[in-house]
Amino acid sequence: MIEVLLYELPSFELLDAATVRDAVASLTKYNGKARVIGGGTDLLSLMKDRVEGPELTVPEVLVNIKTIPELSQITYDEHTGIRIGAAVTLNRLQTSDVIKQEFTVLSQAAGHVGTTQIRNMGTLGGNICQRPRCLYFRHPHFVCYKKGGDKCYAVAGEHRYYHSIMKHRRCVMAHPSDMAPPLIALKAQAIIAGPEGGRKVPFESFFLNPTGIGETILKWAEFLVAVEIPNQETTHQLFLKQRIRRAVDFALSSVAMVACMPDGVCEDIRVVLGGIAPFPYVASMAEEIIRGRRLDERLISDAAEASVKEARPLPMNGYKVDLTKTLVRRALTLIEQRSG
Amino acid sequence: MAEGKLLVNGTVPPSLEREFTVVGKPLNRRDGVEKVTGHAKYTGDMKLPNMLYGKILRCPHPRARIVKIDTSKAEALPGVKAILTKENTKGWRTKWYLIPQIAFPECITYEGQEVAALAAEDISIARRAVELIDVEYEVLTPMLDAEETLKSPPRPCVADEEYPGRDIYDRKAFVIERGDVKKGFEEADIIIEDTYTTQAQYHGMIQTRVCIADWDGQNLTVWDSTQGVWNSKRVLADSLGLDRDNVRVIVKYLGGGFGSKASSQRISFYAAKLSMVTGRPVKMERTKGEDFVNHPHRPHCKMYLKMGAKKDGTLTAIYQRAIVNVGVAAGMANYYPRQIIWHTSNLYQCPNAYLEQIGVYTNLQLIGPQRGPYSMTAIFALESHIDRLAEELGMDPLKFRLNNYAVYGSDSHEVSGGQFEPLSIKSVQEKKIPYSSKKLDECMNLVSQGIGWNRRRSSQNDTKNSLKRGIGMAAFVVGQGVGLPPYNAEADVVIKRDGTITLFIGVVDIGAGQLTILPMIAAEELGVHADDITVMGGDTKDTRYAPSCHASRATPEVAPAVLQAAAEARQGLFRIAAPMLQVKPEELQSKYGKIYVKSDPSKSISFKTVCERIPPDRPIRGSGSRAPTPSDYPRFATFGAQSVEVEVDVETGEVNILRVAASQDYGRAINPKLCISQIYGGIVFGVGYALSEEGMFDPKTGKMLNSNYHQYRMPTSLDMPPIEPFIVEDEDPYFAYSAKGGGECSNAPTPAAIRNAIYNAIGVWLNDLPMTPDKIVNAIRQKEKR
Repeated sequence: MIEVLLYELPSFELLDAATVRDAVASLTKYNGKARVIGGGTDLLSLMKDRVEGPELTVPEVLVNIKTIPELSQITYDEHTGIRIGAAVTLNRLQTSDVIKQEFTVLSQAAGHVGTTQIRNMGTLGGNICQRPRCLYFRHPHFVCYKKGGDKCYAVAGEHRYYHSIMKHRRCVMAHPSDMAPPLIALKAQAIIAGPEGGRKVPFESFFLNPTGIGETILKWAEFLVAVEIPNQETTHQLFLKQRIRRAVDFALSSVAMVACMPDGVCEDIRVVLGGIAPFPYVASMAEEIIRGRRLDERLISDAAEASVKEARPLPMNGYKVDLTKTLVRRALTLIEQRSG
Repeated sequence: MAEGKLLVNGTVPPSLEREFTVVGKPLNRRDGVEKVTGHAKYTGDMKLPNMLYGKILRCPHPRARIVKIDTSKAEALPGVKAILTKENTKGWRTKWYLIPQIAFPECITYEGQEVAALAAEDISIARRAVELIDVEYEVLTPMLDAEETLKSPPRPCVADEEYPGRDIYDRKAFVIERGDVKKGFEEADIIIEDTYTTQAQYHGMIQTRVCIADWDGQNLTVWDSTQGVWNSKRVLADSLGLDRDNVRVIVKYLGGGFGSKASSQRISFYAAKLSMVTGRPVKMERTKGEDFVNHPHRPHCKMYLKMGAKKDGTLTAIYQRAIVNVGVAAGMANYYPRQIIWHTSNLYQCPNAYLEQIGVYTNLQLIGPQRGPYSMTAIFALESHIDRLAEELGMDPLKFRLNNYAVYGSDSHEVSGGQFEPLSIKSVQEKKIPYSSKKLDECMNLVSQGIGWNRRRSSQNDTKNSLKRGIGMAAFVVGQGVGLPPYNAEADVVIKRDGTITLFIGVVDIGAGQLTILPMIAAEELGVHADDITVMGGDTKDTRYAPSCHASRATPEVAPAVLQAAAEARQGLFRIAAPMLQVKPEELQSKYGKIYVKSDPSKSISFKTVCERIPPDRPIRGSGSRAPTPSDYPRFATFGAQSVEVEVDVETGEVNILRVAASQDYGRAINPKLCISQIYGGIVFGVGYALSEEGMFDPKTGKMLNSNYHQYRMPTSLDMPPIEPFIVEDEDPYFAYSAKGGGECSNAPTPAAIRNAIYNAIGVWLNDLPMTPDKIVNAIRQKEKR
C-alpha cells in the first residue's frame, strides 16, 4: 500500500498495437506488468488512485488496442447478426442506426453511460471489463479482497450505493457495467484473444461471482476482441436505470429486458439486472414465471417479486430491493403495453 | 446620496444628479471572452524561468503521531533541491485563516495534513521524492462524529498546539437569547420539535490551490490563487517573518473560489519557504484529490429546533441547539460560532428565543467558509420547520411567513477583535435594530407569483401515477460581513493626458464580475462609457488595501471608495473644462464621454479634448477610501426567496426539479446580468447540497472515501432546472448607488425550498441532507407502515 495521497497518474509506457496478435505478444512479453487500454476512462483513474495490493499492480505498460482496425469495426449481417469490435466507442453504439433498430437495448444502455465526453472516449470492451465502483476498492489505503487483502471494508462501512443486495461471497461489490446486462439479455458472445489462441464464450458465462481479484473469466494476457450478437427475431427490448445524479452516474439498479412475444404470449424473455450483484444478475426465477404466459398485472407483480427473491441486502442498501422490483415491474409493464 | 452613510473618509464631491447611464446596464463581463477562448492565463498555466516544482507529503491518517521521519533517500534523489519537515523547521508557525499554527507538527490531526514539503527540478522527480520519504506513524483513534465526541470526555492532547482555538470553541455553547422562552412556549397553542442534519460540502472550484513563489533575496512575489491579494500579502509576510512591504501577491484569474480561497493557504507558505531556501521560483499545485482532503469544507451540522406558535399563526418561542463538527481548528474566520443561530434569530419576528451553537473538535478535516457559511444549513432547518408549523396550523406557508415578518433585526452589530477573542459567549438581545434596507416581502410575493403558488395543493393527490408534483418555498436572510475594523477599503482613479482612465483596486475577481462592476461605478461617476476605463486589480503592487472577495463584501465595501475616487477625478477634469466652456466647474455635468453645461447641454466638450490639457507630468488623481462599519450602524443584510416545483417518483425516490423561481433584494443591481448569473450559480450549489453532494468517510478510520468528482456528485448543467430570476431593488443610502452585496447567498434557500416541495408532493418530511433516493424510499416505506 502506498502511504501517500498523490492522486496523480504514474508514468507508463504506451504501445500502439497494430494487430490482435501484436497486442497478445506485448501482453505476454511484459508478463502481468502490461494491461490493455481502450478509452482509458476507467483504467487511468484506477492508476491515478493507485489501486493496488499484493495481487494487483499498477501497470507499467499499456497496450493500446484502439490502433487495431478490426477492433473499431461494426459488421452486420441480417442473417447471422452483428459483430462489434471491443474498441467501438459507446457513442457509436448509441448512435449507430443498425444498433438502434435491431439491438435497441444496447443503444439505450450506451446512452446511459457517463457523460458525452466519456461516451466519446469509452469503449464497449472497457465498459464490460470495468472495475468495481466500491469506494474502498478505489481507495489506495484499503487493501481489500480484490487487491489480495484479507478483508472487506464495505460490509461494515459505506455501502449505500455501489454494493450488492444479492447473497454474496466475500466481496460485496455491485457490477457497474451498463452494457453487460443487455449483452446477456441479447445472448451475445464474447470473442476473446490470448496466448493460447482465441475463444468464444457466451456473456452469461463471462462474469464470475468474484471471490478473488477479477470479475471476468479473462485469463492472464487475454483480452476482449469483439462482441457477437445473434439476430433478434421480433423482440421487445428495454433498458431502465436508476441513479442518484440524473445526468451522470453509475446504476443503483438497472434492468435489461429482451422479450419475444408473438401473439402476446411470452415465448422467451431475458431479465438481467445491473448494479445489484457482483455480476450482471440473470433474474431466472422471474423469467420462468413469465415464459409461456401472457403478461398481466398479477403476473408482472409476481415476476417483480421473484426477481429479488434471492436478495440479502446489506444493512444500508435495502432500498435497492424495492428499487429493483420497481424497475422490473415497469419494464414488464412497458413490454406488455407494446406487445398488446 | 448621503455622504456620511457611505462611510467614505473625507468628502464626496456632489453627485451628478442625472439619470444613470452605466449603472443598471446588463453588460458582458470583461473577462468572458478571454476565459471561454482559453486566452486567460491562470496561475496554473504559468511557468517562470529556472522554476522548481514543489510537492507535499501528506499524512494518510486522520489522527497520528510522527514517530520517525527519514528523508535521506529522497534527498539523495538527483534533482531534489530542498525538503522541509518538522525536523528542520522547528518553531515555524504559519497563519491559516488567521489562526497561527505550527507549520509541520509532530501530531497529525486530520487526513492529508502536511508532513513534508519539497522542491525538485521537475514534477515527476518531486513526486518520486515524496514517495521516498519514510515516515513511521503511531496511528491514533480519530474523533469523527461530533455528537459522540461531545458525549465522551475530552481527550488530552498528545502534543502542544494540536487543535488551535480549542480553549475557546471546543464544546462551548455560544448563545443568542431574548425574552423568555419558557413563557413563550406556555403561550403557544402548538409546539413542534424536530432535528435536522446537514453534510460536508466541497467547493469544487475548477482551478485547484496553486501558487508560484519567487524570492529574490529581498522581495517575495507570489502568483497565488486566493480571493484576496491584500489579506494574503499580510498573512504571507507574517508567516514568513517578512516586512509586509517586501511581499507582492498577484492573482489575475482566480479559477473559482466559493470561499475555499478566502485566505492564503499553506501551500503558498511552503512554496515561499522553499523559494527562500533554494533561491529559485517554486511552483506548488494541489491535485483535485488533495483539494478534497486538505481543504476546508462546509461543516456537518445537527440542529434540534423547537418552536411554538399561536393558532392565529404568531410565533411565540424558538429554541435551537445546533452542533457543529468543526474539525481540527477554529477561529473567527473559519468557524463563526454564532452564524447558524444568527440566521435563526433574524429571519422571523419572535419575542422569545434561546438559541445555542456548540462547536465540537474532531479529526474530520478542516472547515471553512463556503458560499454563505451556514446559510444553507441554518435556513434548511428553520425554513423546513416553518413549513411544518404552517402545515400543523393548517395555514398557507407563505401567509405564515408574512405573518411573522421581521421588520427589524434582533441582533446587535457586534464587532470582533482579534482572532482568539470571541464574540461574547452569550448575547442577550432585546434591541430592535433597523436594516439598511429590506424587501423580503416583495421577494416572497414575486417567487410565489413566478411559480404559480395558487396551483399548490394543500394535500397530495392520490392518483395511481407514481409521479407526484409539489410546490414549496423558502426565504432567507444573510448578513453581510461588511467592513469590520481595522481596515479601510481603498480605490484610486488616474486620468492621463492621452485620455486613458485607470481604476486601481486591490480586488480579486472571484468570478462574480467585480472587475466589471467596479469600473461601471467609476464610469457612471465620471460620465464616460464603461469600456473607457481600464481596471488594474488582483495585484498588491500599485493598489491600496481592499478586502478579500468573500462574505459578499467586494461591491458594497469597495464601490463607495471607487465612487469617491472617480468623483474626485471628475472634479479635477471639470476644473480644466470650466474655463474652456466659460462656466464655473459646479455648473458642469458629464455623461457618455462628454462634459457639458448643466443648464445648456448643447455647450459641450469631449473628455479627450479636456484630457489634452492635463499636464504630462501631473495626471489627475482621485482617491477613495471607505471606513470600517461602526457598531451603531443599521444591520446590513441581503434577503430573498425561492419557490420550487418538483416531481417525485414515489417508487424510486427520484426527484426531478421542474422549475425554480428565485428573487433577491440586491439594493440595486449595478449589472443585472451578473446578478442573475449569481442566482443561477447559487442554485447549482443548493441543488447539489439538497440532492446529491456529500463527503463520505469511512466510519472506522475517518478517511475520506469520495475525494473525486465521480463519487462526489456535483450537479451538471443537465441536472439544472429552468430558473426564473427576479431582481428586487430599493434605495439604500448606505451603499454606492444602493448596491448591497449578494453574490454568495443565492444558494441559501434552495435545499429548504426543494424539501418543502417534496413534502407537498409526497407528504413526507425529509430532515437529513442530501435527500438521496435511499432516504426518500425509506421515508415513504415508513409512512406507509404507519
